[in-house]
Amino acid sequence: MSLVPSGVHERSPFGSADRRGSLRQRLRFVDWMMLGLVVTLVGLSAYFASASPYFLRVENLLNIGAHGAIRGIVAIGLTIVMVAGGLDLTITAVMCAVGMVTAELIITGTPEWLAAVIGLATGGAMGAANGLLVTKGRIQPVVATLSTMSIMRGVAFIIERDRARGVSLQLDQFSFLARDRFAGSMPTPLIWWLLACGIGFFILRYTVLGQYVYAIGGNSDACRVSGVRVDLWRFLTYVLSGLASGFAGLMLLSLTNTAYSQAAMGAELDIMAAVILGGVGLGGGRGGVVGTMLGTLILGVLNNGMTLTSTPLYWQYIARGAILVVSVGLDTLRKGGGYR
Amino acid sequence: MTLSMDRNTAGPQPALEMRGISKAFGHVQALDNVDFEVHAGELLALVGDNGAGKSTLVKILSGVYRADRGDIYVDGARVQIECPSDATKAGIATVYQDLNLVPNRDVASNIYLGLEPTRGMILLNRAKMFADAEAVLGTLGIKLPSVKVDVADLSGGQRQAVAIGRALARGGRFILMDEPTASLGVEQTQLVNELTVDLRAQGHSVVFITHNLAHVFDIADRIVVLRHGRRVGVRARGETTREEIVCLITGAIRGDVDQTCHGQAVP
Repeated sequence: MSLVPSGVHERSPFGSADRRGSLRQRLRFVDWMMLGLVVTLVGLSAYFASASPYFLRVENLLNIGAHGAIRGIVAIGLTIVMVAGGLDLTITAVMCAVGMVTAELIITGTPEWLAAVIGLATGGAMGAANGLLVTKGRIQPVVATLSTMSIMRGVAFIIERDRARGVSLQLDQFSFLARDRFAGSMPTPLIWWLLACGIGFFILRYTVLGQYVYAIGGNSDACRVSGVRVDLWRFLTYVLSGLASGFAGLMLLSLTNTAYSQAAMGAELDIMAAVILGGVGLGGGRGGVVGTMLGTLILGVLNNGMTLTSTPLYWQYIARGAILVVSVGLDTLRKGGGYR
Repeated sequence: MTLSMDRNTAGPQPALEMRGISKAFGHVQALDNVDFEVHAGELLALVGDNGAGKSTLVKILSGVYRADRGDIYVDGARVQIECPSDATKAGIATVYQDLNLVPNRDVASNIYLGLEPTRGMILLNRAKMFADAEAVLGTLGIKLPSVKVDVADLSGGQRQAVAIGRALARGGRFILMDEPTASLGVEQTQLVNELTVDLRAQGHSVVFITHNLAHVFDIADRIVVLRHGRRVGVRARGETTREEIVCLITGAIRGDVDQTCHGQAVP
């Protein structure tokens, strides 16, 4: 396996190329976590396909994709933050606030595209606020984003004021983001989701930001003494997460035609569950877009299949929790407690 | 005798020089008006008891700490070192005692951490990074299974080799090593010492901190002794004995400090 041919320069313990380790080395290239996720997804799908005649219909599969899309896009942003060792609890509060701002702008006569751009910028700004609190303010990510989450919900309440049912749009307004279908049948949310996954994958795999996101999540002190501007890159991950959540908020507004202050409340934990299921650890440094996508799909299939088979809601909760704890538990066991 | 050669202009100008460096952490005076010189292409051992200020001195040079007082000169020109990238610009690279590597990343990523080759502003040039990393390790004859292996899968000696590779990749003229062998076994320590000598052979100036006087007398050209934050002795290897160095470290004999530090004796 060694790259340098043995010769004069050979130094034995460096150079023995770990004969004993080489099998382990090779096994590392098999990504057990990813394999487990795919097996789980296929297994669940097979089970629901046999249990319900509707499950495998194209319309239903597209439905799973369309419903997973909003969460899936938010999950991509959260993945980047969490791989860098951070945490963002504001994801759904940002969705909600961005929806409120955009809806308010549209009903007061702002062109839809402009309202959408302003809404997206609002999401980015909220992410930037989180980033500043975590990096410059030196506040723990959990605490910082818990606080801003509460503030954002409060602001959404102010915009909602005394409108009991939130801010409603006309039926024909703002449908291009999520309600229209692409090429006649493809749900647009699915397209956005695939696009977001592509962007996330590209960022993590091919850019300097991606390189630093993993390195900072692995050992931020090492990065600091090596001259990496840790705060700057961390800040950027929160901005990206704000943008992803903001875009998801626009999609939710387009899908439901309504913005209200309780929108998507509590879904942040489901999204985090999908991300963790996909292999992102709370400590950072591992996981990625493909895993997160699989995690989102597994929870989506579980939801959809259990609804089709009329499984009671409480079983859905229990099944979701069980899958999460078993998958993370198996992963920890396999690694023998992790390498750090 | 050695001292007078260092202090005056009799010898060549030091390639790297610190003058009057002081650093306090709260009430603890870690460094007190310390002078320190490194000549081109020499292997300098920095020794002293725990808490003598060795690591603090190295961390000031590498930009991790900022000195309260004192100046740093490279080739006689004053340089400001306020952060790690300033140190890199000044040609100073550091190998840390606590193995400051990123375990979840591959060897090449660790070697080029903070200096990644890019395409344009945002794209990482991974192919170049892998090739360069192999070249860097190749110059020292360091052989690893692959530069694509995660550092978590390497042995302690291999990891320290990666850390030395990182210092080399920075193109540093000065390589500082803060107890590079502290966490290694006997054989791997031997190999890291060989690498250290190789670095000098390739024209780098190396400063290494160690507690192992056997290593010092094996490989060092000069020895600087710190005690209680002061420099108490500078000796050429051939002109001193292990006993003298031990006495300087422990304070059993009075060092040269009274000639260099306001005539105060060491406690």
